[in-house]
Amino acid sequence: MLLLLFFFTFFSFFSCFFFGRLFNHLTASLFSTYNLQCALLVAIILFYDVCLCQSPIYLVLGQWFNIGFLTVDWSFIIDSLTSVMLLVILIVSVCTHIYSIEYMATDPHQIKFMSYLSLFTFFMLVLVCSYNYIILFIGWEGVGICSYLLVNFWNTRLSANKSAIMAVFVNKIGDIALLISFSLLYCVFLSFNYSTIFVCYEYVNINYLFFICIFFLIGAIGKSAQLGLHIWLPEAMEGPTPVSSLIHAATMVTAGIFLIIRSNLLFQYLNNLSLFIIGVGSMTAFLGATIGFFQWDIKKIIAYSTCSQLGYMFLACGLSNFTYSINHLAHHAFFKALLFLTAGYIIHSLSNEQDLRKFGSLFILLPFGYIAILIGSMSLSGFPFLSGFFSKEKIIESFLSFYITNNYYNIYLYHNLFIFKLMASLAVLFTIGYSIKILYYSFFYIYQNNYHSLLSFHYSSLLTLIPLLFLSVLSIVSGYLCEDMMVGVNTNFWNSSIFTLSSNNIYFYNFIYFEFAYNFNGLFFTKDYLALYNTCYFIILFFIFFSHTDEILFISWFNYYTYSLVTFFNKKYLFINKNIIHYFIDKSYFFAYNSMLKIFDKGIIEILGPYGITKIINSFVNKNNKLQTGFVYHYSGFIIISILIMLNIYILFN
Amino acid sequence: MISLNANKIFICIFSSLFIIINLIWLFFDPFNTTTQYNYIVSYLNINIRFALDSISFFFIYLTTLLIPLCLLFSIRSRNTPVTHYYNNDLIFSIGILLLIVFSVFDILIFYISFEAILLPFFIYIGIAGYRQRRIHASYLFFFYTIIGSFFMLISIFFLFIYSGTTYLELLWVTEFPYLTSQLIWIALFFTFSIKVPMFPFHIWLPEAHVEAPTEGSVLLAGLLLKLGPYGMIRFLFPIFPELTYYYAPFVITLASIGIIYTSFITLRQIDIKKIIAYSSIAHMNMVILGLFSFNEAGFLGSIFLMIGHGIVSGGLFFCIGIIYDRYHTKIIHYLSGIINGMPVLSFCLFIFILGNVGLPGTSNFIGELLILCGIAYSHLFVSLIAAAIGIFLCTIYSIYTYNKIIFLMPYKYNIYISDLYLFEYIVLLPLIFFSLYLGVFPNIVLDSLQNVQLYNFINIFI
Repeated sequence: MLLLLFFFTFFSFFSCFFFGRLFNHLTASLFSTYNLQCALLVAIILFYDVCLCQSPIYLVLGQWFNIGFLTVDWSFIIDSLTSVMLLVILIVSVCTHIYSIEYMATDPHQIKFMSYLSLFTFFMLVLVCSYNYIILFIGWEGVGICSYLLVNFWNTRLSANKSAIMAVFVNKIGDIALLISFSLLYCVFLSFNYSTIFVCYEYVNINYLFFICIFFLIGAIGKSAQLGLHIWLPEAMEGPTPVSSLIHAATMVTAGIFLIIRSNLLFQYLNNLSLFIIGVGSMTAFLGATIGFFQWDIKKIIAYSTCSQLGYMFLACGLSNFTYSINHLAHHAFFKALLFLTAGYIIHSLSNEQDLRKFGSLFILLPFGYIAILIGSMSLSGFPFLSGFFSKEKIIESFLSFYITNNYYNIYLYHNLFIFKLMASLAVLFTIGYSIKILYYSFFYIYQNNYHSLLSFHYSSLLTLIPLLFLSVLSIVSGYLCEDMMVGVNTNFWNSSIFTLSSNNIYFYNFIYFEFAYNFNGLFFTKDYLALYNTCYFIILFFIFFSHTDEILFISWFNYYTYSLVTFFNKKYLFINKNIIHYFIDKSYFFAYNSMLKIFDKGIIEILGPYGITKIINSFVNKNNKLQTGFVYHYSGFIIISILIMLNIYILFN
Repeated sequence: MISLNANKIFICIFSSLFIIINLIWLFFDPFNTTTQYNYIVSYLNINIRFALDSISFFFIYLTTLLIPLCLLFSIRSRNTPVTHYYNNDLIFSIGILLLIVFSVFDILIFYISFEAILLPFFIYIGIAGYRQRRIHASYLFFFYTIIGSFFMLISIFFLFIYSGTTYLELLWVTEFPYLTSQLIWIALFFTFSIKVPMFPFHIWLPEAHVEAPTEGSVLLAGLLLKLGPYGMIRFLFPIFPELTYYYAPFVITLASIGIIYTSFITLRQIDIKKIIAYSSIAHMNMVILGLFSFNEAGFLGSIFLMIGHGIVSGGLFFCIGIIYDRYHTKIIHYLSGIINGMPVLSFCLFIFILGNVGLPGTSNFIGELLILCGIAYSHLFVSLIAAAIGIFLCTIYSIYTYNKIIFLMPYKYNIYISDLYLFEYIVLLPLIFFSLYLGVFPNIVLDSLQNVQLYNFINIFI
């Protein structure tokens, strides 16, 4: 069954890439979609087998390479964690495939596009099904390369090229960190198998483990676009919208989270490191949400929103609440893919206009798009009883009630955490803010674009709407359906795939906290109702805010402080943007020229090497040439002088 | 026309050699502790032994793989000036000499053929280039190598004085006086480090690569660079194990500097051949790091990386040669949007670029991973970071170069271009096949390498 997954996705890539030109676009696209649907069917059967019937699958296809004691197998595993990921990946991938049939129909390279999407899905499946870190790395690097190809799909555009290259570079930092951690793993464990490492990690020098996990974290930060290396994610929005939806919202960016959840055992004992994860996660959540709030490009807003939600997942990992993290990952994939696909639907209808300020009143023109965005946004902002509510609120609640009872922490760290808690809570507010912003400006505000784009207004066919409908339904119900199964009390769903140390089990403290904090205030003040009140209140508040935005803007435009505040956020805190990367690239290029090439290759080595030697020989030869005057008395003079010198030497040595 | 017939004959000879070496692989005994397929040439009371062991076998395999492809690629020279008629003879002689170098078990004959390769290559760069600079490049190549070789000649004299033989397996068991052996070690290391090339002696390589024709570059990067590490494995490691261990920090420092230095310099190059040449230097320094980390992962990884790099860089140079045949330029500023005219070439080049980057699934990945593991296993963490920086920068310049020449808006004068011809398909497909096949099934090489004889070399250190 497992191999069928790989077969369908790779076969879809192979046949479309090499033989796709023998068929017309629609046939090839439908073929690849059909293959992906078969893979989805297999994934559903696997979900039933593995998760519901509790029988993980472990498969070894043979040896890849072995050196001495090290053996790396083609080994794969499907446990609960993997099969949840499989379902998420394949559902989003199938939706994207169906969507691209219509969306890319006018592109001459549509078949290539479909094949790349399938290849990406293949690598993602390899990543999640891996049973050792090297197989995981195949998928890890493979999705990076597919991301490069897909972002750069319209490869004559300069901006697409730039952002694709930036995505590769920034991701490569993470990849290198991962390679270093692999070499340390070899140094310590002489093995890359999960089973070996997770059994032996307790007996290993904690310093090695610390460095291994640090490098894992850097890898995850690079891939999951956390603070510091998040710059590639908004830039990668230059790619086609299905790509943004599949790769940069649902699947590839969650690979880093997956890596941490997969190796959760290593992170259990490293409490300092989990504090670091908490910090990175909450800061990313806050920064992503605030920057997204002040952007005007609809895809950039959603991209920053992805950043911030990934921050929440990271945060949950830092709290050792890995089940919350994977739960949020799954639901987030659905509603974020829905948001992206719907944004693409709007952009496609408005002849590729992405600026929110040129939308408006689309409520009348695109009612279905309105419904989809509404569901997606509400789910994203955690409107009660949609799927985002069940996943996100849990993380925030568990973080707010994070009591440090471990001996490892001291009181100062506890006080520091207050800032992170504040950030994580404010990020919720800003999430609601930009969700309402998208809704208000694209659907309710007056239509601001020109007349011609209305004339060329273009409605997509039913084929595009099917995935939207499917994802909308999932964003509504998936959270409610899966809550008890995935993050319920005493759930047996995750089996051995996720292990939580009893001292790190926050659910326990959580429970006590809420009992004390809310329950004795009466029935209506329990946590769920609190979230409902908050969300509804802020949604209405922001709606009022944006509907009076003209007046507010009018005031703020002439106020230096508000103006500079908006500029500060709109320019991404003035320094957390791509300029910082450009600065380092510039510096390294100057370094390469001025301190390397100029001084050594064209300097010292050349002077001491070929250039210098030829020059010395030439000057020596020229001086010697001057002795060859052609006069007899000169020569006889030389002969006499040299005889005298010889005599002197002879006398000296005797 | 004579030359064309000669070309066919040469291709036939080397292709049959390739088939023979494949057959030998079938019957090759990886568990044999000694050399196999021994053949002794006796002439004038001198016995010269030719033999195979698992290290030299794969280099011979690489030679018989690359030489016929080079000969095939030089078919296109029938449209080019008369000077190119010599190509076939030169490539053929280089091939034969390489076979001798890789299979001989006598240090004197090794030295003679090692030197003799210089002559055809010197002529090849000198006559088959296209710029006046080629004279400079061929002189540079010739003199840099020959200065190193003089030291080797002197050290061979010393070896002969103290052991009375030039026969390799006798030298392995001879003990030399302390001071003499140090001098010999330094002299031999100097020779091979120029051939690798290591940091201060590397500037001949980019020049030679840029001025050499495509086949020359392929031979240079694919085979001639491997002579340096091969010589180290053959002579330095087994004859002077203690001294090799003693000087290892020095060599590792040089190699680490070389990796970072050449990787940074590559960022500023605009000639594609120079980019690949500097990248080759970085990769070969990685090989040296792996060799001098003195454990099995590093050792096997570096041999594997040499084989993988031979294939991948060969493919890269062939692709650049194909581009050069069409556009008559190698400067990346003048090339853009090639994918619109040559999609198949873009695909092939992409595979090789991924190989150069070290994507899992290509042959270089196994080598690089094992070398990194070996370095970490020997606790050389600074070198580990240097190697990691090298790999990172390799990605940057490889992807950047690919992106610049293949993607972006095509210039109007390079749209009307034909894609690959049949013989170019035939040249590129085997290399793609081997690059991916070795990446997916590396055990076919690693199993043969992990025999007892190899462990004789490194068991001393472990």
